[in-house]
Amino acid sequence: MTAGKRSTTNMAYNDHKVENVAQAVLTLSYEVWALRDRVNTLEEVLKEKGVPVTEAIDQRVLTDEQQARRDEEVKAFAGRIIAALSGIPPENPDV
Amino acid sequence: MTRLGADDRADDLQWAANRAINPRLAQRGRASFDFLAGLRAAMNTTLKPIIDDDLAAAGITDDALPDDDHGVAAALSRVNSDALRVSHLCKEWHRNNHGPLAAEAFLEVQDEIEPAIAALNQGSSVTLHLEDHQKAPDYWEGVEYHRTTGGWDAFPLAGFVHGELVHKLMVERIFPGGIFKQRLAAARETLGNNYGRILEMGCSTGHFTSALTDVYPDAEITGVDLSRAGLEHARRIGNARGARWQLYQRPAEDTGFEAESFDLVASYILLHELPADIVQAVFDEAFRVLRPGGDVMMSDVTRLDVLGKLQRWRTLEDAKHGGEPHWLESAALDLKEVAERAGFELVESYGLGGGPYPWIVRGRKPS
Repeated sequence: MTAGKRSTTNMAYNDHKVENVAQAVLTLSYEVWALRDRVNTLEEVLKEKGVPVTEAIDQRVLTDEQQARRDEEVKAFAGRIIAALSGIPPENPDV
Repeated sequence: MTRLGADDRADDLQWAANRAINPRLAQRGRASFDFLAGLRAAMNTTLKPIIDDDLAAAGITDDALPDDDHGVAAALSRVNSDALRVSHLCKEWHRNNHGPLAAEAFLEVQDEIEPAIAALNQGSSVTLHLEDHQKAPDYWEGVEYHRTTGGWDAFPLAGFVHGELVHKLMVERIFPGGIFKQRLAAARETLGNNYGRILEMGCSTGHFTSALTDVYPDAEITGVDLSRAGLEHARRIGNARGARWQLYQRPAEDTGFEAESFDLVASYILLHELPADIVQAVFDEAFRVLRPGGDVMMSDVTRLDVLGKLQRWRTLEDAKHGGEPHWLESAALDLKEVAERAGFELVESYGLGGGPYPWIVRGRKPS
């Protein structure tokens, strides 16, 4: 007799919400890795082209205007994650 | 219009092979495969020792476990191990995401390599006979093998994505020792060493077909498989190396070839994808199409009866959740008995090189 065609998923935790959050953490980990790899690659490429930026990035001092923009961006970034974890659906941006 | 001469065509195929076989990915695609391989490596180095300790602390040993699979699974389900839960979590993420990430990696470079893929499709050394108007067997139709969303033929270039990306950039890195070296080693496990006509059952994307060509360069090789996408990629692999293969979209258990028309029938890691009765039918078909005195050599996954109870539980859990609906009944078969029931003699059944994987069964049709 042939077994069922579709595999069952293997839940690590006995709660779908916990499972989803844990899966999301792994997905975010992957995204962080892909970005980290890209930044490393960017710095290597720039260095090879005679533009060593690594030290300059580390020593960068933001202007007040730049810092204010970062503050807004990180607040929005963190807000989207908190909203998702809270079950609040995302809204369309103003277009 | 300028017609390509033979030298131009050979140059064209070489250019296409260099570009499409082992393609260079964009940064994100490369990083994806680095992560997929790195996650599995981290699981082995970080999680496995902790899991082993947790199981030992819970008194879970082969000697202490009951003999039946249900009892073993029940005993393991009572173990409170955070590392075991994280292992389940990571495996599940891996199963869900490797296919989409591979497809995404391909999309990043598709425009760049599609002309090379097209050139390899049009190479002339391999002949492909597609017969997808025939109804696929029930055991295959709709199965998402290896948790591939949509199955082996989910999209037209799925064979390329699995053959060139998933196998070479992920599976090959996760299983050190080399699945390609294993193919070559398995191809050398035949009883004889000289064959004129070889039939490969379940030739998929053509990588074992390549190994057979490497070992028996003068043989005429015919391959059968059910997957259109797999066969189309096998055609590219064969055309890239100028191999004269005949490929057919047919089931291994019912090839339609004339009786006594081959000298060797071979397969690599096909049998566990088939229900037990179909495995027997495959050996029966191999016996039918072999000439008297012809050889059979099938390689497959480790037999369940040579595994300890814990390793057997791990294997069956991976199969159950990993898109392997036929593994349990197929890997439980005694392949020596199956081959002898089909009529073969001189049958041997053993792990390659004395190890557990891949498992080899070989024999000869009586003269």
